[in-house]
Amino acid sequence: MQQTLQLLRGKYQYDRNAYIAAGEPMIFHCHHYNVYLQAVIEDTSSYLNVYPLLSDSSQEIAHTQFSKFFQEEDNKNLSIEEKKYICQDYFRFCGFGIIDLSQLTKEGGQVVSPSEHYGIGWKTKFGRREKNKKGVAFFAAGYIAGAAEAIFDLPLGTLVTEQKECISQGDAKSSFEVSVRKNNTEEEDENDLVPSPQEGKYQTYQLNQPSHTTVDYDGIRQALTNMDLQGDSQTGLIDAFGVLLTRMYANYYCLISYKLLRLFEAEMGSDGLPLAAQLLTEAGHVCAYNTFGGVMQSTEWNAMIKPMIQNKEDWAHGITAVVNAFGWGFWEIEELKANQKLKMKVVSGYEPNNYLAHFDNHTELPISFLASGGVAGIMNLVYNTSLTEEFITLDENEYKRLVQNPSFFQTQKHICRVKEHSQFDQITVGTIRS
Amino acid sequence: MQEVATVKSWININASPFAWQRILFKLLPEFKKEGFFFHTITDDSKLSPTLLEKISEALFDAYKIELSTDFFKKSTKDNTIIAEDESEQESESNVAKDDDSDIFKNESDNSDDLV
Repeated sequence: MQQTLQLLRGKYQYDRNAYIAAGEPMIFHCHHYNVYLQAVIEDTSSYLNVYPLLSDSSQEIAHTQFSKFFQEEDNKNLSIEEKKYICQDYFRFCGFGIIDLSQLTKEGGQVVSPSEHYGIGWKTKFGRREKNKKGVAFFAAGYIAGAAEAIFDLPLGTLVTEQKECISQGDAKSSFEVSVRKNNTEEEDENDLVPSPQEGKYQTYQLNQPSHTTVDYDGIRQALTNMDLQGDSQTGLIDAFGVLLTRMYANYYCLISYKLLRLFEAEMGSDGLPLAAQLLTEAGHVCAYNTFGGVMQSTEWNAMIKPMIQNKEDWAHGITAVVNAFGWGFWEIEELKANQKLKMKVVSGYEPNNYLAHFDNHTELPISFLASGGVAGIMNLVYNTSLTEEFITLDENEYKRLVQNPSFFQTQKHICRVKEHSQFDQITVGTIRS
Repeated sequence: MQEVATVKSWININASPFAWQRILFKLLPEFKKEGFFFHTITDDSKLSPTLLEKISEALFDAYKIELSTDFFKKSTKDNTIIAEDESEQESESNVAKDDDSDIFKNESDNSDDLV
């Protein structure tokens, strides 16, 4: 069994900078990004039916991944109990928390989670959630339904999960009820689930070492991709770099973001799309601030990367080298002007990889929201905080100060692989000087 | 009536960065009801007491704070919303626009695509 579990851990593919587990690209992201992005999507819930897309998306991915894994030659003889164990273990390994699938049958059943990433992450970031709202573990709900379908060899969309209790609302545990999905109405038919695009339109490339820095890109990538970052055996959470990390499905972020945009445009027209894009990009910036900031103040950074650093620009190189181990594709600094400008080339970014395979090749907007916010986050951390000189607390007050800084960095130009049909994304950030 | 700029500034300071954008995102249909489309909302657009009430509720929902009562006291008797003439206005959003600074002058021509 250990060998089977190990197979599902996947491998880091150095030619595309991605963790691939049973065909699914997995990427590192923190609870700040996860819950903020979900909160932004939920902001539209009074006029868009967004809740199903949050859980259907993870159901599509989990079903695709586990079905593929269980159909592999070595895994064809696994018992139902072994398959349940594998899905539970993968949930923990990825930092999603702890789930107990033992009560599930092919008709559904109850699932309990004493520790769950979104519930704990939400409560940590936003405080306790009101009881009159839905629970926040949509990702887990979909994961459970998709995994259950794969375990019992059911078609995608057979089951549906409803969350009954949520840690974010003060409950001692999160609990879920899985049942057979009723697909009889026209409205339900519109929400037919489709398999994950898995790796999508990925690109192969090689990590290049910039000549003007002493930061060892390949050394950092090698070290980080071999770190044993996995969920704790008791909590199922990855508590690292001052955040709760997850090894999240790249496709999950893409599906929920792009489905939101489609739904939004269908209901509201294109008028408000720039606002939606702005908030999705801000989610990326929030992620960069917290995760990059946490990494840049970590023990690992101080031990491995700081000794390579000679100036502020090396801090930007250092964190860019780290990003190349997150599974986000290749990030390559094309131009860096101290405190002025950063031009980043992104090859095989997981956002266009998904969009080009799963949606189409047309968009009115650049769609690499995370990358756009992330690149700006690098400049803001390096030049608009004192993080390179002293330890800072990355809290809401510090974040407010940062955003209100007149030298705040934002994306000035985004040549998008999807929108401009270019070979790669090129993101240029600078300050908006009024 | 309150101007968008005043309310926006108060929200972004007292709630959270980008809170105004999130409130706007939550309330787009409410703004639409009163004749505002996203691209017509400018800093000097006037917000009716009804919209202020909605904004305050949305703020409480997302950030557990409400608009200061001063905003309501200062509202005038005239509750008519003035949707700005879009031909004369630029978008309110922080969407990046062409920048005058030298560092961006020689970039390729796609500046209207920025987010």
